[in-house]
Amino acid sequence: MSRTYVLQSPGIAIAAARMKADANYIGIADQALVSKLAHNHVFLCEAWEQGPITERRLQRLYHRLMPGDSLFMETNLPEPLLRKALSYAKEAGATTVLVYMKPDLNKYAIAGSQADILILPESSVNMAANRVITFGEHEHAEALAGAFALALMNGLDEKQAEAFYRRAALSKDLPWYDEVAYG
Amino acid sequence: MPKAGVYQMFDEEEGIYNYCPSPVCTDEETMYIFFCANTWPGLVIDDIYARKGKLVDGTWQFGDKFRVLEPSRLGWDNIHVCDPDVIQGEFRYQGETYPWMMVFLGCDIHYSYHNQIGIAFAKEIQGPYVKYDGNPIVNYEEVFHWGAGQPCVISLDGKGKFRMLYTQSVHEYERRLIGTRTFWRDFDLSDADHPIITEEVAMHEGGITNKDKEGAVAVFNPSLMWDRQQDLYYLTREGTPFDRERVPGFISSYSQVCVISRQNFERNEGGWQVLYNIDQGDTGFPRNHNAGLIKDAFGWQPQGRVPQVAVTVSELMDQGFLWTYRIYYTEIQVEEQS
Repeated sequence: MSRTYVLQSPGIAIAAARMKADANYIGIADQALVSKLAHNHVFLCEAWEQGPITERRLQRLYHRLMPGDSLFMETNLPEPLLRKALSYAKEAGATTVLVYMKPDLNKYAIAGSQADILILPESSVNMAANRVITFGEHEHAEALAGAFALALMNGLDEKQAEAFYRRAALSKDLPWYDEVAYG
Repeated sequence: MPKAGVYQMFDEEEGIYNYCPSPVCTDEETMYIFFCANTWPGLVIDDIYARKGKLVDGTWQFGDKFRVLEPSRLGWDNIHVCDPDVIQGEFRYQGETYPWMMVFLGCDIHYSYHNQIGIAFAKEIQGPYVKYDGNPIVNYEEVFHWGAGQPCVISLDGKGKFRMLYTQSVHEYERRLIGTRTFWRDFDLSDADHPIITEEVAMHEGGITNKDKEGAVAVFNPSLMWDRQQDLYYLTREGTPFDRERVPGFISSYSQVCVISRQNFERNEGGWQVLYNIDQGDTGFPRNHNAGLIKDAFGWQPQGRVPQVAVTVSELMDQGFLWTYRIYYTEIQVEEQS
């Protein structure tokens, strides 16, 4: 098994924790978000109450990420910062997963080409260099990513785990593990 | 190949593991076996399952599995529940009287940390089980220690009093020693809203030796059965030391069965005898771990039977060994007493 880190995406972090993944949040979080994350069993790994994500703050990844860990992020940071995070994660031997909540591939084209796995709307243009999971209009991207985090922890790839994360993606709200596994 | 009389109790689909059996005989021909298994193939989240078995022509045959306990969404047992044991009694709790109680391990973090022990009550042995609101009934504070778990219980009076043995971390920082050993304590949950729990004590290991009679002994992952006719306690434990050279190196090659008089157990100054080592010669597998004595509903030895054990086996594999965990039936060859 390996550890799961989520950069600046509370939704994916909560989705992963509700799937019983070992979800560790890195990012900005005010008191309300800290409380919400903790209540959902997300571990606050590196949380800053004030200021933006900076390169210097991203360098905390140096000691957090280990070979085989996974780093989830979404396209909500400036692309240069995402590229830094991807390069730091690659240097540490971690698997990187970049989630496109909206079809904004062009805006993040370089970052997208550097990530190991992309999760993106099926209407997007496929980037052949990456491993890709697409989600449909009625699928919940954060729920899908959270369920995939548990699969990655367990060494399953996107094909082996597809039935599990597709079931999670059908939920309107972020589902809990029992709703997916026993449903 | 397993030895004659040793057999796989039931099989599983690919990507599902079975281990930690707790076999409970409700009459001479009926057994409920509780065990730990994952639900979704390939995903390691422990649930507690059970099967009902019938003794047919001297062999246990089992029906379909059913889930009896799940991790909570949040709280002390939100990642895994496993290591079940079940006894019959009379447990009053929140205005109801329950005849069945399960003890189990729960944890709130992956990677075998921060285990604690809980209980749950049921009207029927097959459930549904209601988790006790005073859980964890055996707590452990340090998050990044193994913790307390692998509980087993025997009834002391057929009602609300029982004895629990369990594994717990021991830590001595000056020597950088971190390990586990068996502890025990008594409970009276006749009125579970006002539980009576004795202080825990580290179980004395005197008389227990390793299979090769060499090396330090570590006693953990106990299962216990009380032979009331002869007033003996039978114990299973993980055989030590582990074979670290081959994968998986963190589970035992053999499971050991020991015996002691109840008086000596309660004196807690030693007196154990090694009775038998269940190993590859019995099951045909190189790993034999997480054993559970086959008991009656009170945790006592079924009348007229030699000690019987359900043991978990595993193959040696660099990867994927977990999916070979299956449960085998064995009887103890008492003529090989040491």
